[in-house]
Amino acid sequence: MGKGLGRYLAYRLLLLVPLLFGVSVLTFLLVRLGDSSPAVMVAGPTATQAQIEDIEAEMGLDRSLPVQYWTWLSDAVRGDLGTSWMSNRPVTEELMEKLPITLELIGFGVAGAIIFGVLVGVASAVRQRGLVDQVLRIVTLAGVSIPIFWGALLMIAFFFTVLGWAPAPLGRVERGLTMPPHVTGMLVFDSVVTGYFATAASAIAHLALPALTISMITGATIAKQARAAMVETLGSPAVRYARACGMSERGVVWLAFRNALPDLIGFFGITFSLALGGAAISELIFSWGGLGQLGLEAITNADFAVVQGFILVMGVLTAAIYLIADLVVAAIDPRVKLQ
Amino acid sequence: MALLSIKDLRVHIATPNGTAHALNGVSLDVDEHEIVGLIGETGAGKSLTAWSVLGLLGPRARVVEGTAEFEGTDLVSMSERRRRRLRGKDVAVIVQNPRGALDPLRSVGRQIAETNRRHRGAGRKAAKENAIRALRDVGISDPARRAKAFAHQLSGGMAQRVLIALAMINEPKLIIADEPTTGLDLTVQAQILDLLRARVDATGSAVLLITHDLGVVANYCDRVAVMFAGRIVEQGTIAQIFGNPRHPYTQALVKASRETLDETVSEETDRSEPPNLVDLPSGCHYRFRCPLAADVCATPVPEVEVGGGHRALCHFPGDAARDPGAAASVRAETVERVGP
Repeated sequence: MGKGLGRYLAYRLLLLVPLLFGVSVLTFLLVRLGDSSPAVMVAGPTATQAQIEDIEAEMGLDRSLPVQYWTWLSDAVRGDLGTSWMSNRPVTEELMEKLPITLELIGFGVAGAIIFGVLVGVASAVRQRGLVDQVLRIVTLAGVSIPIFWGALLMIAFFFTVLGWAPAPLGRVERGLTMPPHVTGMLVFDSVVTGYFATAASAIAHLALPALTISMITGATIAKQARAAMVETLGSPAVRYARACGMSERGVVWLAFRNALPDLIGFFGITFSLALGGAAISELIFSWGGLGQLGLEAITNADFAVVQGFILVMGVLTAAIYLIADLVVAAIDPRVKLQ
Repeated sequence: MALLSIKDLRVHIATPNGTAHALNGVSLDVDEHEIVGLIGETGAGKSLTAWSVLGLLGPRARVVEGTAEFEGTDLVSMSERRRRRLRGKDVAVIVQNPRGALDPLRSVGRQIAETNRRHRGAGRKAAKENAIRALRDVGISDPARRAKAFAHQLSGGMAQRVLIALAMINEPKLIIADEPTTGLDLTVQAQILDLLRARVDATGSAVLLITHDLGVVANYCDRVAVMFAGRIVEQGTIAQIFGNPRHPYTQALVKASRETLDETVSEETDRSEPPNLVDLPSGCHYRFRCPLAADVCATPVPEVEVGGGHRALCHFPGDAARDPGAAASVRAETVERVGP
């Protein structure tokens, strides 16, 4: 198994190369297709055409596209993703700083969605047409049809403006609190393990709404998926036979759940990667200051190097999530062989 | 007293077209140590009878009347809790498509051991040993290694052996075998049925064997009950049913099974549609397919005892088709088909 697993991982990493190459070429072309040029933005509104051209030459934008791409690629393989013209900082450094901030948000959001979705989905499959099932149908419809920005605004309006339970949607923690030393870059985690509990409490309070926003939109679909998978396994010959062997109803539900799990874990992976996109919007609304916000701002400001790096990180993250999902499925399902 | 005594069992199923009268007064006894065949065409209610007895009908099906006494206690009115304690212990089940019935994520040894632990309170280690012994008893070589196999790694015949081992682990008094060999190769069918017969002879369990194969019944059963449209139309010993079938439906079945052997006989077998269970005819359900049908057949049908426990549900339980050679020829045909 150990050797097989190593070979499988090497194979999956190898697959990543053409994937990331394709993604980077596509991103490279797409950002340059637009009208906006970073040189125009750098030069400012009063700049002359000559000044703009000077800046373009300085940024290398006057060269042909293949040359530009080659320059970027040869730097990228050495870990240098260029420099952001907005912050004047290396893109790699900026991405690495923002990545844990976003991972924490998505982690909590998706974890909440999975817990909620699985509990509700299983409950409504076990008691079909019962109360939970009926409520779920309405909640899923709402969850699927409410756009994330609208859901986020509703959350703020309700929990911050009306009830006053949540802190203002401005960043990850209250201003003035001592920040914990850097461990992972994930604020809740860092402040808990280093004993900064006041900061941790504030960080959790700030995390609640944006994470809940992500949970809301993804949890509904997970619940729906979990229900469908459970309905199928509960009606399977294996469940019928297990009952005929005297298995208790609790045992039967557990059997059905275990058998639904391989499908569900694959779906969790998809949900996680979808949440990457949703998280960017949530970040913008809650001034989260993570990867998503960085990426969106880079797009509107034609900060090519940052956009390019942002998409690359997203690609790697998505591939990593799918890989983890596949490994977990292979670990629990003897029918699945890694090769 | 019979081990299992089903009396006037009636089951309704809700369908989009109305209420289907799926079982219409089934009465059947299974005594200790005997193998009773339950035969009939698809939709006749064979499996439904078995699953009603187990208390495992789907949400749309419902026992509306009747009892099924197991060792004197009615299973129909029994609480689900008590019934659950019987299932897999005193009443074991073998189903068709064994690979689909097993949990794909657990090794077969573990599943057998779990059933042993659940009902007999065996310890983890003892249950594991029992499971391996049970696998050896059903003729699986290298049972300790096979116990670690998963359902998808087994052939259909091997998986069916596992199901028999699983059924036998708690030494049940009754085994319900629901089409246990459907979907298996003919040679494997014979092996599985020989194995079942041998295990039953060794342990003294009784078997209710559901099948649509007359040859299986002739070779492996002590008694047989013929079902049609939710009723048992005739029951008796193998010799009685094959040698002297009294119900026209049984006669047609026996005749058809002999015709498959003798190709020179022209095909005039009973191939009509089964009756509509939502809108059953009054009186005899078979009368629209019956060559002997008369006006009286629209009135309630009497069950006629023709001697020695041989009973037929018919207005004309005549013995026109008496043919003592029938059983022998059906047996011979099956042996020829499944032989090496």
